Amino acid sequence: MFEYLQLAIIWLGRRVWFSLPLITTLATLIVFMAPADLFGSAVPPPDIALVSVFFWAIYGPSFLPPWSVFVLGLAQDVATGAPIGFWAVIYLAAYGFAMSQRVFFIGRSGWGVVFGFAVVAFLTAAVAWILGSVTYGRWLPSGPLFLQALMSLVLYIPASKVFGVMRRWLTNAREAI
Amino acid sequence: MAWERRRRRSSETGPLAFVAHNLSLAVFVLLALGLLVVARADDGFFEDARASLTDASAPIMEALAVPAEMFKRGSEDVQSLFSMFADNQRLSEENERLRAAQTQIADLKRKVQLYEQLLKAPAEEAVTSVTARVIADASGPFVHTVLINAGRTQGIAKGQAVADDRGLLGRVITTGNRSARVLLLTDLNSRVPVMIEGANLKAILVGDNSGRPALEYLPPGSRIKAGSRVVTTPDGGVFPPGVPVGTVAKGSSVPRVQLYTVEGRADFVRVLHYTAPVDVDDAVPEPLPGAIDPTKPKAAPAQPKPTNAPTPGTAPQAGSPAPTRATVAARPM
Repeated sequence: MFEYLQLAIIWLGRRVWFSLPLITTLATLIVFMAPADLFGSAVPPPDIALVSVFFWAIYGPSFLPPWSVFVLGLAQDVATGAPIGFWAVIYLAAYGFAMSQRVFFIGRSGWGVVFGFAVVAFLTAAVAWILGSVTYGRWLPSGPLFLQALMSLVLYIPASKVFGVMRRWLTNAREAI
Repeated sequence: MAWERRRRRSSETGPLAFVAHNLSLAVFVLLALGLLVVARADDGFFEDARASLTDASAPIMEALAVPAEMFKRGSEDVQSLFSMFADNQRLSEENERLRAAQTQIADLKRKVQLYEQLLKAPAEEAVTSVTARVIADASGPFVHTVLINAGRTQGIAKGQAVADDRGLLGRVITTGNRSARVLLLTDLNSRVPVMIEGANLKAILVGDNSGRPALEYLPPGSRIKAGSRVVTTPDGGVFPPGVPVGTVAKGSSVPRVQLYTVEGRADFVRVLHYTAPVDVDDAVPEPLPGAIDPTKPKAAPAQPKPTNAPTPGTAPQAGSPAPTRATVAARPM
């Protein structure tokens, strides 16, 4: 009995550890919601979920599988008050697109990947604008979306360093098991 | 052990893993699209789920709001250091102006009271309020909302107006037990009935995700002065009258309002509970000119013998009690 409990705890611990990308992204999402007025009222906050989705789609899709991207999207929908499923569709599309370009991105220099993220961020903004306009039944202002893409691009550089360290930990842990 | 590692690697990076990964991606895309369609068709269930999740995360957000507020105050203090001299001068001038206006206000107040007594004007409806803290800035590129730490338990209901110390901030759109979501005036879905003071014109303040919402449904040919104060009207029975909203902005082809409140600056807000009075007139309406009066018997040749029993719908006879005006309170939305 005790052995089974021990095994269950070990299994749960591993699941939590390997879900670190999802947990940290969700935590950052909540921190960014704190009313600190960090980015001013005119500028929307950067999309940390998109940064995470892109990074892990390129460097470790097994650490952020599609169900995690789905959960991130739903969390974003709940947090921002968007229609349920909206950001889940957008993030899964961005994830699929980044995955399809994985071969191109792997082995590129840091700036090459940043450029790749810029392309994905602006494409995501365009898709979000179209899907948002269809969902709400009117043309939405596109400015805030592209401004958010720009903010996300600025955030990508420091965030990718942190995710890089996390990826090293996770890869080492996987090798060790 | 080595065999186990090889097996795991093949399940994570092999061709089967690739197919499984892409298949699960397709399944989740379909699931998300399905949710989006269902949620748009019937948002009730999802709104309840969202409110429950917000309620559950409210304690974390409340805990995070305290250092966030300290950070915001700190940065505001640092900013104010640079403008201390100018602020001091501006406040001294404002103080002078207010002191001069104080006597005038007292005089006007006395006059208004006197006129109200003479006209037997009914007392204004009392507006009660609940104070709440902004615990999260839940805004995205499409949606402009904030979360507050008061919900149904504190008597917060959907539709209630929310204001801070400067003016109207928005209205409650969803309520949980301990938290509520407030739709800001700048949001695309925000519609608020307002009045432009001075011109006495009524309009609808329409949010369009820009910092300055537009004034729509103004009467054709109406002229409004830039800088005129915009306040709420009780039309629709949701907002209490006279809550300051902003001033008419200068230099735009579409009339817009410069809001008093600044998005992201509100720490504490008041949720206003207003019950609009509704007059119900018991008197039978006057018939329109030329219309057949239903209360009068038809001039038919074979008229039945009138009885003493009252006919439903007949006008009150002389000597019967006069029509009464009852004032009932509309239910808050």
